[in-house]
Amino acid sequence: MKKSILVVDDSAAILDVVKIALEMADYEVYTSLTGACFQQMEQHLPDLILLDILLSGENGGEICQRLKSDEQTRHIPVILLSAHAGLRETAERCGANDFLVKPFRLSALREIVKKYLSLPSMTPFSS
Amino acid sequence: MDTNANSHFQEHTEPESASHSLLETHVLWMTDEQTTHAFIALDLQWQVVYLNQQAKEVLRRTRGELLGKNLWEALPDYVGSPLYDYCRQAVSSDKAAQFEVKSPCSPKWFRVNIFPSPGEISIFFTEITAWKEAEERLRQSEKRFRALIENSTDGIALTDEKGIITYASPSTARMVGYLPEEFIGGRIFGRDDYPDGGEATRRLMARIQQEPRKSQVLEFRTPHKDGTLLWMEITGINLLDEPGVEAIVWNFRDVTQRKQLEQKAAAAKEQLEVILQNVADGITVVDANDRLVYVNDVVAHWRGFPSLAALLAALQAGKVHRHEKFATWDQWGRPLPGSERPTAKALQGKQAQALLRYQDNATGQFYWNLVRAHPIFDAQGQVQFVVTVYTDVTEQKELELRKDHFISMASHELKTPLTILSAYTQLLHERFAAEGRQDAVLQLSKMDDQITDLTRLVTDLLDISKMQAGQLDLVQEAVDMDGLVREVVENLQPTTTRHLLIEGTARRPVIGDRGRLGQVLINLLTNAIKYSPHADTVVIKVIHTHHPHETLTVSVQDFGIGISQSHQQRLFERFYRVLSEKDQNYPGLGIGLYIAHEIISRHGGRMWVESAEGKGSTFFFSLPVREAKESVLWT
Repeated sequence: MKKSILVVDDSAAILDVVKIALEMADYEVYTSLTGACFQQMEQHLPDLILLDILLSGENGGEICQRLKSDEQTRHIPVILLSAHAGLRETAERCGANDFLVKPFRLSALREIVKKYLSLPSMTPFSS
Repeated sequence: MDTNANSHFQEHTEPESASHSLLETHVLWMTDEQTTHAFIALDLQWQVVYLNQQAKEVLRRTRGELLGKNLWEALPDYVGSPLYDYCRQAVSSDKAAQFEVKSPCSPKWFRVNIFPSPGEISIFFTEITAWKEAEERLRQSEKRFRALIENSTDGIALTDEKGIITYASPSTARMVGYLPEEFIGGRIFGRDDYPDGGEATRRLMARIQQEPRKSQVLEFRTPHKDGTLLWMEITGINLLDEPGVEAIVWNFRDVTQRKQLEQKAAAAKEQLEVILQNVADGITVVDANDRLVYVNDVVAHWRGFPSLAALLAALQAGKVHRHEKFATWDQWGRPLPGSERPTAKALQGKQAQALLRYQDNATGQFYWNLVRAHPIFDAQGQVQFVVTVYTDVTEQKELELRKDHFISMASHELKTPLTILSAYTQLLHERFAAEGRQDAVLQLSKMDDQITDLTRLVTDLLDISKMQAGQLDLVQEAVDMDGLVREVVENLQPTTTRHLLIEGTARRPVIGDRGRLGQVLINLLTNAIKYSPHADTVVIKVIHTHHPHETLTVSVQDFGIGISQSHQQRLFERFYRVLSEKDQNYPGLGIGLYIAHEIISRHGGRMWVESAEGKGSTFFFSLPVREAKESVLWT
């Protein structure tokens, strides 16, 4: 069964290209322009989340913190995306598993996704 | 022996004495053997007919050697002496005489009285050596005092109780262009002495008259004979009741030059004060103990006082503390310790400058100041004062911050389309590669390279705005410099034909931000490659040294076009470009080295360059090797 990845970014073009790139690597990809998607996530939990930290009206870091403090979702690896240079600290602060600075190489994107999806159980980024 | 100089001939004033008989003279001068006077009687042929005991001692002869003998034959030493001359003169003029002579054979002085009378000559000798010596001492003493008074640059004058001059030294007269005698009989003060029409000098005179033996001093202006006005410092003392003086003694000193200097200094001070009070900058002066000795109105206003006087009064009353009013940060937003204030640094003897941010604790308002402190040294080279100038740059700084914010936002906004462009280019690259479309793959690679360059430029601009805003965050981690150098070289080697050689080893990790240090290495290596188009190699050296502190130095050496001396100093400034005809072919924004330099500085390290035009350049950076716990404060 294909692993599923949820990508959240406020740019439709980025969602598009990331979806194509990851589908090429044989993942099932869902996308969302806002953080609203997390409210209906109980039905279908993704195997991995790629989350931009600058969402319109919301903060990806805070969403990540919520996910990591929720018993239901804390095991899902969260990788933060941003063009922001202070991304590393944000990732550490909100308990994200890893981060990827925009613009990124597609190879780097696939590598990081592969790395977390092949791990037997999720460990927080900071360890 | 010259005795003439000390003797004088004086005619006796008693005419009748010429007619005294020898016997009368005997009685008159008490010729008995007990008298202290020496006496000899002679006939007109100078034959000694009588001499008393003292005469033998005075003339140093026995009675037998003198009595019945011609005086001058018995005393050949005396022939031609003043005694001989005076005696002969008295006898030939037949007049009694008195004169003083020094003995030709002893250091004694005698007063000699000679009384010629018909048929006889009487000569009396009275020893006056002690009196003569006292007189000489007095004469010498007076000569010394006179020399002292007359040669003194100060003027000395004596007046009576009403101020009428009885004596004026030549220097007194010289000072005001008169002869001493022109002064005598005049008044010590003119009627209209300046600057108050004589009021001060009248008061001085009154005080002196009322308070004997007490010195009184006054500075006043008095006209020189040539019409110019002189400043005089006069000291008077009432010695009217001092026996032998009985005068008011005045001492004059011409202080015109000093007064002129004082006036010039006062004028210069006033001029300076006007300048200091009218500049837009705040100015403070502290003494060596950091005590405030001056602030201009600008500083007083900043501190909420209407004037300098009000501020100083409040400080003295202890109502305000100097450093309480404002919270202070450095330009990177770190709280500024007192010892880091430019004034504190200047107190250590070094000029200091800093861009500081202040917050008024009362109003909460922020200010930016460019603060420059200059030490002023005394003759021994110790700091005497520190002058600190505060230039309010709040407006410029806010404008700069807005500009930096704009650049930051713009760069950030640019990154989204760059991410999309980059990702689609890579997708297409993969797709065409899978289809074996090599021409398209090549074109897309070129496109990808350009996107990478553009991304780096945008990242640099973003870094610059962060540095300016003090938001460049550095991570502290142990960095294996050997590994980092290797990694950077491995990444860059495929992009260049230059051979990138690594020499040396770091041995120990440094504490720093691996990503940022990698950025510095990439910058130095890409520059080395870019500016040495005809060279074969670029050498990267890693050197670990222990002296004076444990330091890791990395150098990147190229064999390219080099940099002239004049450009080397400014190379690390923001937007500085070495623009000359021959290197216009090298594009760039002039920010890479600035960023690299900032990153190294923020690591507590140092970056510098050694270069010669046409021979190449070597860029160095050194980092202190520290334990993580003693690392510098990074924000």
